[in-house]
Amino acid sequence: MAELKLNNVIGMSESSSTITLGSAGATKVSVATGKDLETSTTGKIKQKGAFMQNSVHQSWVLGG
Amino acid sequence: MAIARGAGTEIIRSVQLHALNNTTETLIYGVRHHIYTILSIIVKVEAIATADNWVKCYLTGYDSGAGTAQASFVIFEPSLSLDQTFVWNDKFSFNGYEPVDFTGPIDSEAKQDAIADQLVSGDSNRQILKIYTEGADDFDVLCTYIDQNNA
Repeated sequence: MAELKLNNVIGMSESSSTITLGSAGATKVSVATGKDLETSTTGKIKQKGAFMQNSVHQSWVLGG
Repeated sequence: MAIARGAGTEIIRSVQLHALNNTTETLIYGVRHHIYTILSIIVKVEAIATADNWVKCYLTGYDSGAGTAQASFVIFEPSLSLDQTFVWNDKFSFNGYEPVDFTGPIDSEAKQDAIADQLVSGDSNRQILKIYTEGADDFDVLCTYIDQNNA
């Protein structure tokens, strides 16, 4: 999987309180001061190094 | 959109078998550097040739005790009656491929790591989950599992 480098992301925007990755209307990830870390509808935050990527799967396997 | 199933993905898969009989069918065909975790296997008896015929589910894979390839490991083999439903609800995992052959038993880190590495070559070294019944029966089967692709 390609490494994400902020300075290579097309459509990256930044203001004093918000960082947005992705062009307008197609935001991939955005962060704003005092707000949630938000992905696109189908995107997800991936936890690297976990034995399972998906928390639902993890719950099934571990019985959570 | 198509389900992403490339390297680094983890997806739910399911496989269904209609009218299973004494011809062995494959539930999961192992692929190198995959790990499969069974969530459930459901068997429903639609018709049975002889009362109490069994359904046998087994894995062909590596015997790490003897250090031999393509051994059979039986998971379940219950005798069933007409219209019964059998549910296998215990989780277990297995690798898509066998390890590079070693002399058993496991008595070193290298041998243990070989199992995880799945570096053996050859189509005959897949680990395959299979199922069949005792006679000319008609059992329906549904298997649900997680496929982690590390290829």
